[in-house]
Amino acid sequence: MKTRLSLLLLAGLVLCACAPASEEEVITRALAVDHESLPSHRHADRLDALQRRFLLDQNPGDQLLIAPWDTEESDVPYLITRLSDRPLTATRELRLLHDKVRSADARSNSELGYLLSSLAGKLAPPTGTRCLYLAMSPSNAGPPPAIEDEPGRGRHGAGWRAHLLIPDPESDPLEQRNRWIRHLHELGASRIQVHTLDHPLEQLPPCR
Amino acid sequence: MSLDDRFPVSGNFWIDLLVLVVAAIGLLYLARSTAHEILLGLTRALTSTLRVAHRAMAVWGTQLRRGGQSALYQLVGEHQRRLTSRELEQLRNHVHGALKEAPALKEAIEGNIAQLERDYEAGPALPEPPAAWGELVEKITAVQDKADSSLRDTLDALRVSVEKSCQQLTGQHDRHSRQAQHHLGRLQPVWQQARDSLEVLEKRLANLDERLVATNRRIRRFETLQAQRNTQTSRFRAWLALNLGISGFLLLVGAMITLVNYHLLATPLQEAFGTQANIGPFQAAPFTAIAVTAAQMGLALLISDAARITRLLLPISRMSALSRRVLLGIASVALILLALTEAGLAFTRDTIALESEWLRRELEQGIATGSPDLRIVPAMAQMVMGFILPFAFIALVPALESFFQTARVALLLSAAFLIGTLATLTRLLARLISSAGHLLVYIYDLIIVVPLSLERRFRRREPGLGGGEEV
Repeated sequence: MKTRLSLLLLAGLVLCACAPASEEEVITRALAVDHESLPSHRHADRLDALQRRFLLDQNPGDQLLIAPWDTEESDVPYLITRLSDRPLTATRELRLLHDKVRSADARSNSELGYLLSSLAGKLAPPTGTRCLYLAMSPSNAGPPPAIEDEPGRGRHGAGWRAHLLIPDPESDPLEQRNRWIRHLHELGASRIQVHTLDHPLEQLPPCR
Repeated sequence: MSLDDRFPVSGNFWIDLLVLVVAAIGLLYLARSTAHEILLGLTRALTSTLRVAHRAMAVWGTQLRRGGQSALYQLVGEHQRRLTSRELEQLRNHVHGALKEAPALKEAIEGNIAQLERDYEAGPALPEPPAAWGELVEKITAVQDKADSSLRDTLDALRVSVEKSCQQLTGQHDRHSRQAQHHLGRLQPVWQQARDSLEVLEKRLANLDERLVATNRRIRRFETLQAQRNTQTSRFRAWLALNLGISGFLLLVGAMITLVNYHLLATPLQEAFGTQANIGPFQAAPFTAIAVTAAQMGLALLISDAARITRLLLPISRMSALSRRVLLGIASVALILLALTEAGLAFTRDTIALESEWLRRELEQGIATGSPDLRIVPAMAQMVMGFILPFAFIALVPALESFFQTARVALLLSAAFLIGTLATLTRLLARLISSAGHLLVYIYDLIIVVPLSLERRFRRREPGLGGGEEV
């Protein structure tokens, strides 16, 4: 009896010390800001606050994608990071990421259609909670024509949620917005919500 | 549906109603004796059932009360017995200590006395007082005045030599006196030592006397308690309520300490294991924090029992003194190691919280704040708390023991009180139902009062069976 208890205790201690990280549901949030289509002199503060709020909503273990991003290592126009599941390490990673985001030079001039298609490909895997925050002004540019054979394109109804964030409600024609919504559906978005970016932005729309 | 539809006799509602009432009264009158028997039988059955229930509950309540009181007396007696045995133990230790020091004290006193005797004997003899040389000189002077010249010269020479001898002897006596005085002066510290030793002895005897008085008082209280068992119940109950309240409060404090302990461990362990490491269905970090806190509580329990502060675990009470000491040593070392681990983890907690807070502020305000420096005071405070809290569990184990003991007795006495109250209510209900049965019979008779009065009138007119005329 005592031997069994000792073995159980030992097994418990070993489990405590060497428990492997299990596959838990990962929340993936993607943020895409169309700098080209937005008048930066009017909305720079709101977009900066949006990026900071986006970083603030991340938790240890989450995955985040920020686009557009000018990376030297690859031609992918976004930055993808899986945060550590350790709180202190994740905090330090977020701090480094914020330093990078603040530098204006990092912004890429990628074409929005290609960018969204790539992001939809990253959001396509059917596991975990996934959502895309797209900050843009629908009045300035229409959606690109559908490219059927584009690599990394998401499937229709892939299960991720899209939040269309409009900084300027005055320049938001309904017809253009509907065309964007149809385009996002084609890229794989299951649910789409349209929000107006308040200033200051109190809270990011929830991903779940 | 109206009465005419159900009971159409005359077509007039009031006449139909009257006929119905008369018919009902007639039926009730005919069924009077049976109805009385049913009503009385039913109430009697209910009453007897409730009486049985009352008796069963009364017996049960009495047994519970006796059990509770017995447990209470046992508890109070055990408490007093412990106090008395502690007093006796202290007395034994005191006497043992006093007896251990007694030979040395006795030896010191005897040594002082022997030293005094030796010094006294070794001292100079007391010089004889100088002879009455002055009187002799005066007599020679008186004879010298009456004598002739030759004799006067002789006497004069004699007087001079006597005076010289007198001066020599007086000087010698003075020297001897000074020597004796000096010797007595040297004896004074030895006397002082002897006096100190005697004072120490006196103090020890006085302490022993006080201890004896206290122990006697405790034993007398114990005896009084045993003698007044049946008369001092309310005082014992007050003592029980006080103990239960205090131990309950201390357990509440213990629960709060447990929560604080858990929080000190959980955040740093999350940093160590990560938020996605699992142990079975549980997250690794909170599970380990709970396990470590539980282990600290278990070790505190073992230490308290092994040190004979409490007697919660029977196997430890049966252990030999050596085994208990070994167990005490192992448990103490394990608890110290766990406390040190917790202190180390708690030290990093402030850094984790501070960095997270600074990043949040930076992201909310958009101002670059940089990395925060380590705050020494909060980090050290949490570290010290992390080291001390596991040992606080040891102090709370007696409260747990007291709570278990008093809660059992309080539960028994409360249950006895509740069951006694329920038994009284059952008794009252039985009485009420019994009275209600009789009341229903009277109400029944009141409804059929007209045929009843007619029956009584006719009965009075009938000749009695025993009143017939014999022919």
